[in-house]
Amino acid sequence: MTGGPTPDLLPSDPRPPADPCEECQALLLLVAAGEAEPADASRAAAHRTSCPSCAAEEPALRAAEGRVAEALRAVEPPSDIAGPVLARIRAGEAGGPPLRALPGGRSRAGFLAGKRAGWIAAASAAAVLLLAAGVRPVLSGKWWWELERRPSAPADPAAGEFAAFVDGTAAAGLGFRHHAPLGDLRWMAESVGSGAAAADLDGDGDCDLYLADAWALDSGRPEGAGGRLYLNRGDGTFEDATEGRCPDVPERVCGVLAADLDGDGNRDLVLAGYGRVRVLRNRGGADFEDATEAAGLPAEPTSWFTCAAAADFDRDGILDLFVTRYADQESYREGMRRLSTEPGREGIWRGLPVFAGPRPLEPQGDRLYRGLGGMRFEDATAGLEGQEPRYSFQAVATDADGDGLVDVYVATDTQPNILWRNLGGMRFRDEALEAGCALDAEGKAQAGMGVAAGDPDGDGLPDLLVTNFSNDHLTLYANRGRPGKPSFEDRSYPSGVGPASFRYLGWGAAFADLDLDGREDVVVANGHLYPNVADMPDLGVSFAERLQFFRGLGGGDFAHAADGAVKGNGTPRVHRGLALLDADGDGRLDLLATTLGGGPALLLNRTPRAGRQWIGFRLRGTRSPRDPAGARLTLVAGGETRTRELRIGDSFASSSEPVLRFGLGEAAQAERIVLRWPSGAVQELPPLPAGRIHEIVEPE
Amino acid sequence: MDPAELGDVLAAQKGDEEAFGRLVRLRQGLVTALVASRVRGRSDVEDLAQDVFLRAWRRLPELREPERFTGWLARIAVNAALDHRRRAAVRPRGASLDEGGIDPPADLPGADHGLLVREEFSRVLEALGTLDDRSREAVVLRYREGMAVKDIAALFGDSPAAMAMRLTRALRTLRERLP
Repeated sequence: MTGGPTPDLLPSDPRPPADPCEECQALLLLVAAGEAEPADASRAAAHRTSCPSCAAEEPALRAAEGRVAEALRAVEPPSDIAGPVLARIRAGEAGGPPLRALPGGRSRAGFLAGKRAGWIAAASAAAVLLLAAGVRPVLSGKWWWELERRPSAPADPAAGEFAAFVDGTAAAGLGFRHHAPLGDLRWMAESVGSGAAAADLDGDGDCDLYLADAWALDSGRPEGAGGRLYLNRGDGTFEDATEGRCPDVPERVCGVLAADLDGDGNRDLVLAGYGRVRVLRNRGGADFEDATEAAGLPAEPTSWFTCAAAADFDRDGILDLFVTRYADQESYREGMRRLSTEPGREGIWRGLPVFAGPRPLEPQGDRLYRGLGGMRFEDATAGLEGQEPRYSFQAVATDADGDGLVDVYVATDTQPNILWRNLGGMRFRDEALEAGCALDAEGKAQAGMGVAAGDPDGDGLPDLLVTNFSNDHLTLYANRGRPGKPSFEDRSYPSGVGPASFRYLGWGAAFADLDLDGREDVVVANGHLYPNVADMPDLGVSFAERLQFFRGLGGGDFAHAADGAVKGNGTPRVHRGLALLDADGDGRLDLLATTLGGGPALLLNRTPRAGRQWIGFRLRGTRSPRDPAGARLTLVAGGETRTRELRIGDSFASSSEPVLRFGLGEAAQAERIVLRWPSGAVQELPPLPAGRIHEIVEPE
Repeated sequence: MDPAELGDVLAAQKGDEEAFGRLVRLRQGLVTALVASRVRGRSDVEDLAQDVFLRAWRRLPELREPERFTGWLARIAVNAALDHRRRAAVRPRGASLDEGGIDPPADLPGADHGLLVREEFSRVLEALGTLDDRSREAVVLRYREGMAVKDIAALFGDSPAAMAMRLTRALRTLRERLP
């Protein structure tokens, strides 16, 4: 209770407004219930001290409570009604058992059966209780694997042939190769891969790329390994500009983002590496220098940094960084060395010998860095109130409750996901459990790998799509929150993304209007963690997997697109990162998917436009950071309202081109455009024509 | 929420009748108390309590937050009682032993002690019968089931402050009427 009681809180109550003593007693009731805010409790105590009648009444009311409770708890029904109730249910009087069908006609019957359902439910219940009690347990074992494997749902005819791509990787000149030791993966960290950042790095208006690299832990760096910088020539082809422009980075890097950290008009790079977070300062024209030491980001040899996200969390006009960490792989490696045990086969998954992870590796907590300006940062991790170690893979910075402050959602592996609600002043509190986005609808923690945010239902609030391990489903959390009160509903199955995703292991994901019909679609980069899953063909999963597409139907619903419904998606790869960009400047969103131990896939969007329009917005902050992550733009076109939020570090290990893009259907212009900047400023724009990117500068 | 109960809720949602039977045994007292606070007649109360659980079984797929099962069940019970009252056009009032609504526990040790409990039980129910419907339900949920004030408030669409005020006024009324 905040702000104290007020007489008008009970408008329907015919009694006159409360007197001070009544207000005090109501507060004392909350104090006795353990539900009062400290300030309210102090206020009530102060009133009671100065008011003899109040002081006398309180024990009498507590006694009345006890007397009423004792009498009520003695109430029993006339007889045990469980028997008659069950008999009536079995006679069909209740209309049949539940869960024969779910909304949307998708069956969930038989998903869990018999004793297995019972112990899964009990495990879920225990997890919920422990979490509710403030305990953050490491859930034991890999019980989620025990879910019944089901074949993937057939493609939904509603998806149609909605998208077409051509593989433009070779023609674009992207010769990059990732250096994971595919034939000899011994440690989990070697199989997680690396991502890519897409952004205009040299300031010429088109989208460039940085591709991160990693290699084996037990051997030296291979010849030619390391991240590569590719500059767009303006025609959708790229030039490898690494030599002389990009300093060598010693760490194996997983996540990367591009953002103008120092506000000088040039986008810098943040690399989440194995042992260090590194920043590369762009001196202009994509000429980078290593600024890590000056930035105040120390080496942490045992830290396995996975992904980074940038936003202005404290609204001081400077970008801050949130960087996830997974687990202490190094200490585990050292332990294995002492045991002289051959690594790579000490774990077990469905009978397969596999490398160990996540357990028994020790999970690590995430890092929050406050931007001080001038490419300097200070560790602000203490602001993550009560943080306990998790197996964090990826965070997305998004205003989850619409209160104007950018929050952080973290996908964690086998543990409850985290929603760090921004309380202001670089203070955050995990409210995922209360908000309904820590566990899935069945109350279980999933093996979260990545997360994407978008607004497929068009309500202006960010929904979340979490990618998970195979033999589990994509999880779609639909946002039902309000300012200060984040709330989500698990719509994985009703929305249509759940059933078809069961046998895939997803990493990067994105909401994107690929066919420009005005509705956000979904694309997921799949690829298994274990190279030897093919040794168990009955599992129905494979190491290399195709991208997966879901066509947006509006209202937050999707139709699964079969492989044939998306031309150009025929090649299985061990995908990891995923970035959206318009590589060739034709207004359609292209895809860049990174792979483990292989080359990237640049899939150029060739979906027939058939008169469909698009519009884009490139934002430049003034009071907000120059790259205004967290800015939210809403427009109306063709009578429909659509919203996009600028997110930097928006997919697993990757960061998409920082341009807000909308499909408009057949509408020729966008109307009623409202832009909320991270500074809090709200700007209304006049109607703007489709077919181009508009540059918007924040009013001073 | 007790993990065993939550486990039963999750299992019942998947069609486990035995789990649902355990939930009925666990929550039949609550449902009976809520129903009896609006409906007269012992047989009506028992029938209606059964109907409440049948409705709950049928609607379990709609329960998206299993940890809120108790409040959800309470709302079904209250609505069922209201429906029943509308149909029967019965004037609302509190139940009492004299009217054959609900009984106190029958297996109390010692006749004297049992008698005392029975009398106290009767007095409290009589006093409860003088409260308005919402206050009576709030008192039952708070003091029989131990639900948090904020959860009861959410159930009724009130603020926690308003619910605390309502409970305080109810307690003052009950204190006046319980010698």
